[in-house]
Parts: sequence; structure tokens; C-alpha cells
Amino acid sequence: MAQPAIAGEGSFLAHLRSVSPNACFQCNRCTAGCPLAPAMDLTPAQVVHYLLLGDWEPALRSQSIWACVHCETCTARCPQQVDISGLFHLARARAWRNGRVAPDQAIATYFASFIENLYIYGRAAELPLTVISKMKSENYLGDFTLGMRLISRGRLNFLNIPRGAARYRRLYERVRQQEAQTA
Amino acid sequence: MKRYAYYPGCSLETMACEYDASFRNLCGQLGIAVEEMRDWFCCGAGMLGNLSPLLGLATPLKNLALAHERGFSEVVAPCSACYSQFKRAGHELQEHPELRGQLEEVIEYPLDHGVEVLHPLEMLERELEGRALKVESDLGHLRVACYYGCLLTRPPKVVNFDDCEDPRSMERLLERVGITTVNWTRKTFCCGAFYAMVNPSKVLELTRDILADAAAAGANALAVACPVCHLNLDARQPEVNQAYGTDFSLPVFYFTQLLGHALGVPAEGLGLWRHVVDPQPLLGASAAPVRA
Repeated sequence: MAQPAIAGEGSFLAHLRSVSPNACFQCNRCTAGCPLAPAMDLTPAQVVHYLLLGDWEPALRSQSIWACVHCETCTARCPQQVDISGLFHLARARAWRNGRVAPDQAIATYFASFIENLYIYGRAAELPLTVISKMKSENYLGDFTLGMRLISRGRLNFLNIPRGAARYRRLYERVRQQEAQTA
Repeated sequence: MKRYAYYPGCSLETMACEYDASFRNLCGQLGIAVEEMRDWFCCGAGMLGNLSPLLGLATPLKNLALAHERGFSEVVAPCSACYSQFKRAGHELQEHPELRGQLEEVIEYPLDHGVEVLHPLEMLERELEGRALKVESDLGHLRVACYYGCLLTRPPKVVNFDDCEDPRSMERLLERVGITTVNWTRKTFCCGAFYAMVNPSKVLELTRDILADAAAAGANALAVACPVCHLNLDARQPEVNQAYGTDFSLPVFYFTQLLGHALGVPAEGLGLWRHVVDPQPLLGASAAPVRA
């Protein structure tokens, strides 16, 4: 099984660094419109403020970066054109790359399962993906009735044939090579 | 005749197979040529960027290159997540031309092909402009709340789709086949998407708010354009009722199912039986949920 490659924070990340919090003047419009803010320990505006101060630690430690679903409401509405959703993405990628993910972080477990699944099938194979993800998170019964509902309506495939996997793997390997050179 | 490359995306092969069937059959009924791309693979769904930003951008771009290689200049992507991945990759490339060489090297294809990415809403509006439509089924009793969710309209500078706070393209299409649409406030509110895996009760709350708002505006159905929106609003509706003691019974359609039904696509070509909230009481006998 493919292990997620940990690419160094190489030259390619430079463009992500151009996502800047510096224009934020703390109007809190991002927080007001965020559907997940009530589930966050730091509000989106607080995360942006820490990043503006150059202090990544509180953001990397927070639940907030894992609660964000990237609905892009904040980025769309920011009067200062700060890409808040992009900053959350960057913080999460940084936490991931530096091994700062708590083992019980369900979304991270799902991401890892998704990426492994993709390497095998080339397309998201929902049934094996769900099984892998449930095993990893040791949450076997969550959404069981929902799954049954989908299966009885023919909406989960039992037969997953890897299609497109060869092309995806070739791309994946080329990216790894390229990153090894620039790291 | 113009041919569109069709990129179904992973969800339309499984949990949203009725979106796939209704889209293909609608296009067939309208005489629009859509052809599924051969060899397509997952767009990455925004998750690969966590692993490697390069891989996150290269994955959608490689799929667009495959379309171009096969002679297409337009790609239609019905899933909001795929659509947004394609748009974002194009946007990043435009904003950061210095990435181009590196990306071309990994995808092994030049990036000046100019392939255009369209959502079916955009493609249908374009194709049906000025065209007379023959309505076969009267759906005048439907009052539909059109729900756009997140990634179709946001962020506007990336996707450049309709108006990001008050999109109206779905309403315009449905109204052309005699369906009444309602004005409501939560058409672009987030349903919580995949956060259901972490905190299902939070997603039930967001979903409840959306359903309640649609009902309060007088809607007797919702129309969506995204598999994840559909999953949360339709398949989790029984959980919402259980959690909040509500009695919602709002059928949630893909907009392609409603257009297809109105324009004469037979019920077995629309996959209506796959829904959790049974749409038959609303649609009547003509939409008997035939298993096909």
C-alpha cells in the first residue's frame, strides 16, 4: 500500500506562502458567516490573527483547522481579500507534513484513507474507502443505517475495478520524483 | 456538431448514480452530445493538496489534458467538488505562471490547450438559449427551493459562476419547463459536507436549518447540483427528523431529474427510486419509482 509521501516544504510551496493574512483588520465577517465556527475552538478570525503575528503554534494545535470544510464562505466575503480558507488549508497541510496530527483526528484519518484508496483504484471506491476509514478510526458503526439505506438503493458499489489507477500512479510517481529533486 | 467531454467523477458512479443517469438521459433527450472521457481518474477532491500541493494541482490538470488529447475543448463536470477542483487548478495556474513548467513536466502535456470547464447548469443554459422546449409532464404544482451549496459559486474569483450570494441559473432553467421556484435565504449555505464523519449532529443541525428554511418559504421540494448536498439533505433527512422531532418529507431532486421528467425522459431513466425521501407522492403516477 502506498504510504503518503511527505514532501519537503520545497519550492512548490512558495506559491502557497503568497496566501497572506496581512491585510486582515479583524472585522470578523469570516467568523460571522462560518457554518462550522460553533464547532471550533479558535474562530477563523483568531486563526488569521495568530498567523498574521507569525505564530503558527495555536493554529496547528487547534481543532479549527480540522473542522473547516472549505465551503469558502469566508474567502468569498472577506472585504480585505484574505483567502481565509486557503490559510486553513495551508495550516492543515503544515500540521500533516510535520506529523502534528492527533491519531483520533477523524478527518485526517479519512484523508489518509482517501489517498491510499486512490492509489489502488484511481477513482474513489466508496465502499472500500468507508471500510478502511472505519477500521482506522475504530468507529465501526457510525452511519451504519445510512450505509444500509444506500446499499438497498443500489448506491454503493460492491464491485470496484481499478480504472484510471495506472494513469494516476504514473502521475503520483512523477510528482514524487520531481519533489525529491527540488526538496 | 459540438461534443462535450463528460467527466462524471467518482460519486456519480456510485452514491449519485441517479445524477449520472438523469444527466445523460436529459442530454440524450435534448440532442446534446456528451461523451464520457476515457481513462479519467479522481480529481483529488481537494484532499491531495494536504499531501503535496504539486499533486493536488497536477491531478485535475492531467484529467483536462486527457480530454484535450482526445479532441475535446469543453469538459462538463456535474459534481461541485470536481468542478471546483478543475476551476481552482486553472486559477492557480493563471495566478502563478511560474508553476507551469513544473506542472507540464509531471503531467507530460502542454498547458496552453485552453480547455473550458463547465457545470451542467452553465452548459444547459448555453445550449438551450433561444430554443423552444417541449414540456411533456406538467410540474406546475412543484414549488422548488434551488440549493447551490458551496463550491459551485465560491470563491467567485476562482469559479466565476453566476452570482455568489444569489445565484439564479437553476431557477431560470426550472422555470423554463413550468416549475415554480421559491425565494429563500439558505440557497448557498453550507450543509456541513464531510464534517458529518466527525460530528454528525452538527451536520444534522445545518441540514435541519436548510430544510426548515425551504419549508418556511413554501417549498415542497428541493433541487440540488452536488452529490454531497444530496446525501446530507435526502439520505440524512430521517436522522434530522429523529434528532429534532420534525416531520420533513421534502423530496430532494437533482435538477437534471426535474428537467428530464418535465421534458419527457421516462421515469426509469431518472433513478427516482434511489432517493431516500420518496418523491412519488409529489410527482404522481407518472414518476412511479421503476427500478431500472
